[in-house]
Formats: sequence, C-alpha cells, structure tokens
Amino acid sequence: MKRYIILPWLSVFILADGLYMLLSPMVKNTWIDLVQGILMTIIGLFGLYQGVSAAWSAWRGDPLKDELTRKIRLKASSISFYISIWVWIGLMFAEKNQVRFHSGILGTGVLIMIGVYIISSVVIRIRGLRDE
Amino acid sequence: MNNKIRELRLRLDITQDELARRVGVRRETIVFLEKNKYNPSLKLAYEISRVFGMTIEEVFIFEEPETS
Repeated sequence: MKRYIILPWLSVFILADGLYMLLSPMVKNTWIDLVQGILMTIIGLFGLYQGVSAAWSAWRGDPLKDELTRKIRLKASSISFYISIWVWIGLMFAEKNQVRFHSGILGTGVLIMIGVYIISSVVIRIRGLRDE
Repeated sequence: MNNKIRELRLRLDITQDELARRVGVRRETIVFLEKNKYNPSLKLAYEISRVFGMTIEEVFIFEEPETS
C-alpha cells in the first residue's frame, strides 16, 4: 500500500497517544512520561506532515523521492545513529540508577532515536547540504 | 560551488516547478539549488545545463577552497 495512505493514519494514532500521555490525568506525570508524550506528539506531527506532503506530491505528479530527499534521509540517519550510541549509554546509566521507564528502556530509546532523526532532518533542511 | 540557475531560469521565463518537472526532481531541490544550499550530482547538473542549452561549467561555478 502507498506510503501516503498508511503514514497519515499511523501518525494520527501516534499523535493521539502522545497527546493522551501529555493531557490525561490518568497517566502519572513523571518527567519520563512528559518526555515520552512530547516525543510521541512530535513524531505524530512529523509523520502527519510527511504523509500529507507525500499525498500532495503524488496528486501533483511530483516524484516522491529524488536525490536531495535521499541525501537528507541518509545524513539524518547517520547523525541520529551516532547520537543514539550516546543516548543508549545514558539510558543504561539511568536504568542502573533506578530510573523507571514507563514504556521500558527499549521503547524510550527508540522514541529518542526517532526524535533525533526528525530534529536532524529539520536542521539539515534549514542549513542545507553543501559539500556533501 | 555557486550557480546561475535562478538567473537563467528567469531569462527563459520558466517556473521552479517547470524546471523541476523537466529534470525529474521535486521543486524543493530546485529551491535548495538556487539558494546554494545543495551541490547537485553530476547527472542532475548535466540535466539542468541541458535544459538551459549550456555546458555544466557555464551554469555551475566551481570555486577553489581557500587554503591557509
């Protein structure tokens, strides 16, 4: 199935979950819940933006990917991979110091990796990709 | 590397959208190129130069990096 059909729907669910974590009084508002809620909201919004923009491109007949989008994706992936190495070390250190993660250390780590990927791709789009 | 894409495009009176379609990329890529925020691949540079009926050297200006 096409990405521009799946992605917006998936993003709506992620966004709803993130907002629920942020706003619902049922969820214990520890700082980890807050960070996870913010990350899920950012991921949901980014996914929704990507999905809608892919649908718009498909409607206009533009290519969904070209060399610039591929290079941005590649660069953002490499940055987020590099940063995530330090994030995982930090998370393991936090867990050893009795920090309890609402959705487990794995879920938190993956959420942070996606968050770093999104931030990297936004920064690359703002700064450009010269001399790459 | 700088380029004359915007200048040549305006001279030919074509939009960013039209240029993007002719070379098979997204409009965003043309925006990045015109703002000098991206250095294209050799293939894309060739395609763009061909649209303007020029050589790559006439459209893209390579500047030697300053050595200290």
